[in-house]
Amino acid sequence: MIEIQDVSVHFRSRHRTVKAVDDVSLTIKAGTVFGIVGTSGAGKSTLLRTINLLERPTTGRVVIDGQDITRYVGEELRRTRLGIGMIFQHFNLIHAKTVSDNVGFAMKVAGRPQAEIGQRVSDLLALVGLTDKAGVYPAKLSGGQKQRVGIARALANRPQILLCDEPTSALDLETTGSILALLKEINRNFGITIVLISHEMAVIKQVCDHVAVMDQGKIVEVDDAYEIFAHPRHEFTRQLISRTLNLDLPERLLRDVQGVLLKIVYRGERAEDPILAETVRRFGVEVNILHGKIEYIGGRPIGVLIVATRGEAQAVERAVAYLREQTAEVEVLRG
Amino acid sequence: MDNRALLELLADLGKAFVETFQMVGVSLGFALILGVPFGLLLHITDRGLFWQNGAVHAVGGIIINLVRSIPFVILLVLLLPITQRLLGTTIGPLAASVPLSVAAIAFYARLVQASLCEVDRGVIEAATALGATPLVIVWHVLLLEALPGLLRGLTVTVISLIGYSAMAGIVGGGGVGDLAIRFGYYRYQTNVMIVTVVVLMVLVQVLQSAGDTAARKADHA
Repeated sequence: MIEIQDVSVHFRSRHRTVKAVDDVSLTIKAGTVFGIVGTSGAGKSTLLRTINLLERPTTGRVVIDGQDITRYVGEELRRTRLGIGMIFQHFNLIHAKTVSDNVGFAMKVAGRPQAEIGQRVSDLLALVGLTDKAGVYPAKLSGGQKQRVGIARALANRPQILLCDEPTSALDLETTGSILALLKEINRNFGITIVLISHEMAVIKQVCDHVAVMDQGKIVEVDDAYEIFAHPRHEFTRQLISRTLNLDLPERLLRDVQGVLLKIVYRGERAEDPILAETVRRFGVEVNILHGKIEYIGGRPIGVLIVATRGEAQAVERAVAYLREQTAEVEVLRG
Repeated sequence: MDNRALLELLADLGKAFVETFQMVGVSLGFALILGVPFGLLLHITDRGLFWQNGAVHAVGGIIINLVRSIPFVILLVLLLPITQRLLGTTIGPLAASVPLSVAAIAFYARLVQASLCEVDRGVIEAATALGATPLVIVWHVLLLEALPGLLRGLTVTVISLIGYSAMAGIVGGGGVGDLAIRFGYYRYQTNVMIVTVVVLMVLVQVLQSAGDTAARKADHA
């Protein structure tokens, strides 16, 4: 378990002090995938780096499995870091070492014997699917392959925690998917706690169990990933989510379609119920689906539909009331 | 020119080159042994690195600038008392190696520092996050990643040293520069001068190519 207690990180420049992280407290349960999301400059990278003390908190404490590591220096800090793997947006591999030497380097740092290193490195390369690249230098690899080497290196000393600093932001969409799937697999198979930061809700959606939303150095909302998507409470969270869940209708449609325009959000099992059919049957209104999609967050569905409802004014009103009762959220886009 | 004169010239030329190699070799050795640690010290005491120390960084920089701001001919003369104290003489290639070494250390330290600055800080950070000690980072990350640059810098240093060593003739250091001046200038034997210059040209070309090849082999980026 990682506990971040009242942590602030201030950067002092000549004229002013920047509060990169402003009094943040978080508890990250062991074995979960915890996402920290926010726009760039929100302080999420700085916050992540306090966990292995690449950045020392100005105030506050970082406690890992009951051990306050905040004041650790020298050998004690080094030994703590052996138990915390980290991967980076730009991979940060040693260019002058081959793939297997990059991974082996992590174990050499930990003082492991050469014989053990050889065996473990080939196991790790098999795990990340790069067995055939063992003797290749990083410059010859694609971005996704480099990140896989980064992951193998981070796992080399069997850490309990894996920190991921924008791990897919330098990768294309398809590669992003495969790297996230690998991270999820590692979390499931080895029970490693993963703390991942990203500016993309789409990334968070794919892997995280819990999410903290960060804005201007502060955590504005923490919840289950599903809850964050299903009911974002904070305005900033809504904005972030709208980019993933939003359905934009063409201007022409908004102008020309008749009737009351509704945006309906379903959650969980209700997403699979025939609520619309029931509405049509009960109130005798006409329902025309204009746009819709269902997102799965950790296997649980969230549905968003945009419909136009037409009929007698009273019937429509009752239909809307019924929908409000039956679904998570109904927003009247145009009355 | 008859055969006897040619043989004499070859013998003089051979001796001069041996002396030049001695001077360049000794000073290059010191550049490696002391210039690399000096450049390294300047780099890792810089802001944001693991032995950040403004005072050491500033003083080191000033020392290098002082040495490098003195024209080599003047440095040669300036260091004569020190050479005398160190070696008991100020004459000969070994004596000339003292000022050459001082210049070489300062020269190469700056080039080392510049190459180390090129190393991606993210890679250093990754090694730090892995729990690597500063010494391991210096050896396995900094110097290894900077190796192509260090080799290119070394090539530049060798070639500059050959140039500097020619001036060493002034204080009785011997070497090819001295030969060229003594025969080619004082005795009007232009052909000796030409032969010397041509040999030096070939030498510089060979060294530069060798340096480039080594740097290319070390470069995996």
